[in-house]
Amino acid sequence: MRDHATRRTVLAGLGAALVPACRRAWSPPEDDPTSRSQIKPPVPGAEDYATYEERWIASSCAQCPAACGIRVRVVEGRAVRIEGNRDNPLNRGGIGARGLAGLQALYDPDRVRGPLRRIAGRLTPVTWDDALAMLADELARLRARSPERLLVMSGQERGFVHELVARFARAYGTPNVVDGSPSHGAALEAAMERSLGVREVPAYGWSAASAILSLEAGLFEDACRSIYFARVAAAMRRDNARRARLIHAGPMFDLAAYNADRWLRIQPGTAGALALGVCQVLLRDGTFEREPAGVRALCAPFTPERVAALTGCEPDAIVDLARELWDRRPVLAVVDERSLAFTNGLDTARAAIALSALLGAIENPRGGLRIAPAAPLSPWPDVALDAVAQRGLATQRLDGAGRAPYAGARAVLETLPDAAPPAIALLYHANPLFARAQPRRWRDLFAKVPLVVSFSPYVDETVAEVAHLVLPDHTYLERVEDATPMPGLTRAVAGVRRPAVAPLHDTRATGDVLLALAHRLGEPLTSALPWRTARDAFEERWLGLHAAARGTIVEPTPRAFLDRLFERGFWAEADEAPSRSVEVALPLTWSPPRWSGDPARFPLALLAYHPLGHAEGSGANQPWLHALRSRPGLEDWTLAASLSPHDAPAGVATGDRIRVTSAYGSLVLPVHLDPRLAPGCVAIPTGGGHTALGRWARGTGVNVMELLAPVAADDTGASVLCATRVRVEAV
Amino acid sequence: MTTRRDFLRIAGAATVAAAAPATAAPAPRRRHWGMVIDLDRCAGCNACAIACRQENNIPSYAADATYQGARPEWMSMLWQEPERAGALPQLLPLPCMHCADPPCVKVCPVGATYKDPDGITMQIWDRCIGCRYCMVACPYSRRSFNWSEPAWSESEVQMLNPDVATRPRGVVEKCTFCHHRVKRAGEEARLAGRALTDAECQRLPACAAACPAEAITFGDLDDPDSKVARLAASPRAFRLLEHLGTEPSVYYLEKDRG
Amino acid sequence: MRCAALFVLVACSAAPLPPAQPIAFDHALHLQLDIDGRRVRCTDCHAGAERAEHAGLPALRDCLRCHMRPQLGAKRIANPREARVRELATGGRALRWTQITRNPGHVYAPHRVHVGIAKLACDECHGDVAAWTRPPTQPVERLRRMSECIACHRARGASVRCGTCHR
Repeated sequence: MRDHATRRTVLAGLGAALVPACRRAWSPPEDDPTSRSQIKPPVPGAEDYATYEERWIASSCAQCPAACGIRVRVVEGRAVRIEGNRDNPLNRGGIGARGLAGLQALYDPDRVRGPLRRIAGRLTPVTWDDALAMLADELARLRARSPERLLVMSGQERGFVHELVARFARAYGTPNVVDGSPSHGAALEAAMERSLGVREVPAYGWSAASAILSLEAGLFEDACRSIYFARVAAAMRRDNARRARLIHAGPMFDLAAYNADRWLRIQPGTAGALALGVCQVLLRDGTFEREPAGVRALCAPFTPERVAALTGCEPDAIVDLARELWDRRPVLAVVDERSLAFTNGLDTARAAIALSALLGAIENPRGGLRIAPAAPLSPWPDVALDAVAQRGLATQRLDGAGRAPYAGARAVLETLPDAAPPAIALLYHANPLFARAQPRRWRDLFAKVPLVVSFSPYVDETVAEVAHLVLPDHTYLERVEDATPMPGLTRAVAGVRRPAVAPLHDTRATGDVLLALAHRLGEPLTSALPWRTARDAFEERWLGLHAAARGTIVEPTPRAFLDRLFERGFWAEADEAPSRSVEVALPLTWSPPRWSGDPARFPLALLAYHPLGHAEGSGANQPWLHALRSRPGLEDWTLAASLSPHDAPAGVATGDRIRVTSAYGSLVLPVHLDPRLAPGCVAIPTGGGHTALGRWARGTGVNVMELLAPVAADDTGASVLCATRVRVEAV
Repeated sequence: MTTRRDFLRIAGAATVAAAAPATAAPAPRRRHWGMVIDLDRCAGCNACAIACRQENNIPSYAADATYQGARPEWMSMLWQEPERAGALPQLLPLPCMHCADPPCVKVCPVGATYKDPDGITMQIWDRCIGCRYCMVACPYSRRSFNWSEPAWSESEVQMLNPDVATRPRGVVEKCTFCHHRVKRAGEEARLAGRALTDAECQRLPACAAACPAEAITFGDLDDPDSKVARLAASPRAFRLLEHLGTEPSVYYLEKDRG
Repeated sequence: MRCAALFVLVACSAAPLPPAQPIAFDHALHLQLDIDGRRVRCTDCHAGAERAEHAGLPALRDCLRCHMRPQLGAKRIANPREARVRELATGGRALRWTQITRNPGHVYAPHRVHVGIAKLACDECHGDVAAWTRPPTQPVERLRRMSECIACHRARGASVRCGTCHR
């Protein structure tokens, strides 16, 4: 009996002692489901980060050609924030939706994780050695036969890597280097060259300007300087001594129309007529600052009445506009990609330049259109061509650029699908199977190309459907390169990019891949691209800034200069570029835009436009860009067609589905009835209808490019976004 | 570890006791955090809304999710159609108004939302029981509910901001005036032995920092020398739904269509 | 008694094993050393302890500041733990500590305020660090529960408003 009680007591005692000890045993906080410890997977390549260590990396955005200065906050080797760099004169700390979405571009879960090769119809991982060996072998064999059958499509227009790509092609011996992006500046560059003798899009001075006239420009939306203009317009309105007025002429109620103090609704593609109408009034009234030769004869037919008939404006509005602009000079008369998205783009651009000339706003230090100053970068030495290259380069380009009817074009996209298919195609920042008019033409073209190589970091439509080899590039947050901005300021800025994080996947910077290929191919490519790494090539260019010994970074040695350049993320000229005197040569004529399609069967003009956050159309894998609201009534994530109630089929209301048909195809999508839209138009944003590009790009509407007629503008060869007629029916 | 369940069990008296402020040691001067949004500078670029998403780990839901109209959103871009025919719509960036007399605080049964003495209407994720009374009470509809458990892929989870906790399913969330940034800036100033200056506050929240047009200004409305106080006194200044008596801390400056 | 022993064994096996560290760091030893002519400080390795939110754990480069060359100590004997530092460095590998004292994600308890502003000494919260010859296997009692934080805040007149410590 006593034994029993003792054992029970001992057990009870032990139990009593142990229970509190067990309750107080520690368990890691991540075991508690409410703790949300944000435990993240380890980061290869971040070994030198201490726990919780935070670093700030100055770099430049690459989500659009504006190349704003950014700072990336990196914690333990992970990029957790992108913000604007307050020191960079381009954006002064501001940043756009696309810039912010750069994190999603980096951490996209569906990125290409290493080189891929199509084997038995499927894209299969291979090693870099195998991939490069195979490509070098094919390139060498093609070079021995006919190097001109190498096609290079580069989606960039400026920048060192784009120049390396062009250099590679030149040394290789192919003239077929084609700008793969939607003709960003082609028409505007050509206009600047013919009118002012400089082939570059203009910069804008605004220190004393008190009006901005937007001639159908996509200001604040898809303009590649939208962030710069947001800052400029706000400062001109609220910080300048005289509050500036923003006047926008355009067919849609877009953000430019929203911001405008006065919105002149005009028919699409007629902004050039409006500009010439204003010129005619200025000349008639004797109120102008300079009169370029021949301008009077050019403008004489554009009376207020005639312009009113062309644009849909009231004649009085044109006269008032002329008087207001004269009163508020200097004036920024702005055209951009959206203004020039018609067959008459070149003429519209030159009309805008003519207007600036009459208002005394060309190279006026107080404000107006300025020739973009260039940073004093050192050039690379010329490429030495061997006999093979010379023969290849002498052949005719596949795209017909430089020959009638595209005599003034550097490159033409729309003609390529009809040309003889190349033997090898290299695609850098180019996704023609989605982004070009009539994607099926491109599908058909590349089906006949034996070797299609893409450098895309994502599985886009071109990669998914036709690529044989994928050599994935780093994203811009993982590589070193220059950030030559689209011109905006009147002082030169040279930005740089450097890795904010170690590469996440087995990717390689395309610049380095080209150098590796050149090395494998031997002479003359090895001499043309002699650098060990792309960074070495780039540093040679940047040393020109060091040698200039002026601007925001002055250092005694090249190494110190480069260190400071990377620390700060950019170099800028200290002062504004001095204004220079220029001769202004004028257009011969202006004509209304041409629309393809029988007006009897297709009565409406299709206004395909790049919406806010689109820039170059590659953002569908970044879900933040689907949540942008740039128009009243349009919901995020759904791409709808905007239609004036005048043109809507009977019984159709906002939210219903309609069928939009062109001579090329037919799409069904929701409609939004917009009484503010110019009658006679259907406006559909681009960027929807992805069939690849990862999980976030699914379910995003339809691809308007399937309706578009593939049109290249005469002379400049620029791809024309708005040249298609359609009809609309209820579904 | 005090779990939410534990807390609810002792909710009664402990709620009241814990919510009452302790007797404070000498602390920095009390502020009234506020914001001014200049609609004449605002270009409508949506950068503020996206900066807020990035800063606060707001989850994204795909196009085909059954989440129409209810996706969490803190800074919203509201297009207000005009009443007068022929007039043009107005775009309003809408954060939480951080009302001085907030209806949401009055209806919260568990003290998950309360008024910080510095003027911020706080939202404590861990106290929220998901009853959504506050969402009904808010006249500006500035509160979002997590109808699903947010999930990020292994890759996307890397970019989450460590300064802001993610919220689970069943919790209401809203704009916090980037309270975590305000705290950090205040602490760093104190560490340096000085007061937080107005210049440091003007672009302190993520939305204000991102805005390329510098349309959003933040700061202490009670500091007469602050930019935000000066702007709030402008003849162009107005607040939303003033007749309700909520006393919002967010002022708007009229778009000058001159 | 056999049943009692079994009970104890079963109970102890339910407790988690102490986590392994790449190096069995000896705080007691290091805190007695001098570096650059002054006594070693906590911030030499826990760099964020005064100015940042987290004190942080050292990266390999912090160890290598001293241990790039063998530090033989008074007994002139090579220490295998010390050699491991150089082994990791030459192998290009990271020093991955198993973090023992970690707050849940929704807790904001910055060192900046507690150490930098309130001037608390490290051992007030972390315990008698100078006595640790091996790395800790559990966080100290003081740092495990919200009630501990609240009690100390109340005692010192610091804020107990939710938003001060929760994010």
